[in-house]
Amino acid sequence: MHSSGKGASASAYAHGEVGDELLMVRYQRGDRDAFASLVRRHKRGVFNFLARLIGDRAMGDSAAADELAVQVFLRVVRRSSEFKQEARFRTWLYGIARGVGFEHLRRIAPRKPAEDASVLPVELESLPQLPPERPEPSGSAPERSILDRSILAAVESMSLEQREVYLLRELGELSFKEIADVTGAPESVVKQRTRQALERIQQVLGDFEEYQRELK
Amino acid sequence: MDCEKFDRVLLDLLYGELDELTRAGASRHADQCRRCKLRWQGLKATREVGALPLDEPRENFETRVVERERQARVGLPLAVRMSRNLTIVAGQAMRHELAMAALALLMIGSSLLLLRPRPGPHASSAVAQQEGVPLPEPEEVVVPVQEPPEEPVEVAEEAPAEQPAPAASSPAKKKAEPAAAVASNTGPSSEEELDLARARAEDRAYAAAMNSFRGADYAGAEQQFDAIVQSGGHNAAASELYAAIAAEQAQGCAAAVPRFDSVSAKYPSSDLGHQATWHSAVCRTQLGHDRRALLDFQRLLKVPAYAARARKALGLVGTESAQNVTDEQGLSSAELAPVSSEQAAANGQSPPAASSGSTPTESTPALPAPGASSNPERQDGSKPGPSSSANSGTGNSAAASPGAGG
Repeated sequence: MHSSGKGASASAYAHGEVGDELLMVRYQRGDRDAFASLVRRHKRGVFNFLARLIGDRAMGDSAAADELAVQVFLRVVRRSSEFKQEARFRTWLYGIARGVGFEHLRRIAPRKPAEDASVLPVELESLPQLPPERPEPSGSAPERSILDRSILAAVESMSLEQREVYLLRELGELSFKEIADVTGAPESVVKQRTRQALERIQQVLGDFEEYQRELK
Repeated sequence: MDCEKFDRVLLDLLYGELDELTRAGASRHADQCRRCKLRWQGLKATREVGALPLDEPRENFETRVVERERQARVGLPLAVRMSRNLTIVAGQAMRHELAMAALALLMIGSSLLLLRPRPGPHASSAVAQQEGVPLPEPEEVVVPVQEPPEEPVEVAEEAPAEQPAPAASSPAKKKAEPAAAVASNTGPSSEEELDLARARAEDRAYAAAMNSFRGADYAGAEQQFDAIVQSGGHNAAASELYAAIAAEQAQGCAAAVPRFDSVSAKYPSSDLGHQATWHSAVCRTQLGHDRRALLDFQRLLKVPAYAARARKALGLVGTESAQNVTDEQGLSSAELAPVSSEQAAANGQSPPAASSGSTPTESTPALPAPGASSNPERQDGSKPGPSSSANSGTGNSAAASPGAGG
């Protein structure tokens, strides 16, 4: 009887019928299936957020972002008692992810100042289409189109402030107000940074047919 | 809508955050203004064509996380596990009927609490109604008594009702009897009431500060906890730690480290002190003060509840350095000294964006509940809370678990 109920709830979780906040509350009450569902739902977003935030150059492959994403969910476990149902889980989660990402950047910054170009703003003029010095990640790196690589290069070229708000907006799907809450920056500044980030990508996209077609 | 206003709402329009009316106004303006239309179309196309390519995490990500979650739960302090288990049991037990019954009981209980008369003022008013005159001062009551007592209140209490009294003193005696009743009712019991009221007020202040903290209003929480520390009371010790954690969240590690150090120094052998040491070490790691952090982690190796995580942290920070740093003599005075925010800023140890805001950082300690005391070895003479004294010997973080609250 109990197992069937559990199975039913797991099925409901899998189909996204239960909101994140309710899942979190259920996890607070000891339902580990609820936690597994939260991981399943958000692993991709959190992983990509961290991978793009810390920058590929800083890690060489996806291992660092993967481990950091694991750390984010473990921090969710440790801080689970602090979560309130009234809060939006996504905002809370990406706040944690941001903290984990910044801690990583802080850790590597003094040790690899020359290598960690991702934390330094790069002039747009120097933005390479395909950076020749960039090591090609071994094994796990997916094949990317030129468009995708250009987009990623543009993201890497953003300042850290621009990049974090852009990623929180696009991957975290947080509102500007939520981003302001998470980053501590005023909402107007958040919007300004988002716009600058978009314009940086826009500049890279100018030569691509897909973009020109979309404009028409 | 003009171009300037369009510019202001462009991002909201792009991400669908505008209300219907403003959105319609912006669309109308874009239809009429070529410049704004181009901007809008350009950014819209950027979002659609320039969407971030998404990668997948490594294989078995979910399995790995769930497995480590299981390990993390096993590694949690006993008190945290107990409280979680209690929550689980409560969650199972509190079905609708029980929840409603509990709510009803709570309402009845709280209303009784509100209805309970205050001893002092009520008793006084009863006397005034009985006699039709205000209650005289105790000195006036005892004046007619033939053998003046040294302590008026004691005489009033000892005056037996059946003892014949002089006729002249009869009115005074009538006044004295209620006064004696007042004295006996408002003496020790009123002090208890006052203590209780004070404790409740302290708990309310603590709960308010906790609400601010949990609501991520860390700056506000810091102030509230500081106020509790200033006024003393049974939540002061826990509040001091919380103020430091709130400072970390609100201002960053550079500001929080001296506060953690202060808590560590005040409550060196308690769980509160260990928690502060842990936070301090984590913060110092983030600030790049690895040697001092290593020392703190090494100290925590001796505390059973922190040994495992301290060992892990030592491994992360650098085992080789950990072996080299064996005592405080291995550190320079600058490294041992608390780090000020100015120093940290001067050293450029904290990226500005990272230090701002309410980003959650390293693990939060088992949260002290109201009344959770700090240290059985305190030198200030304050009484340690029962949970603290019970657990501090083992170094278990349960010392900070709900204790003698209220």
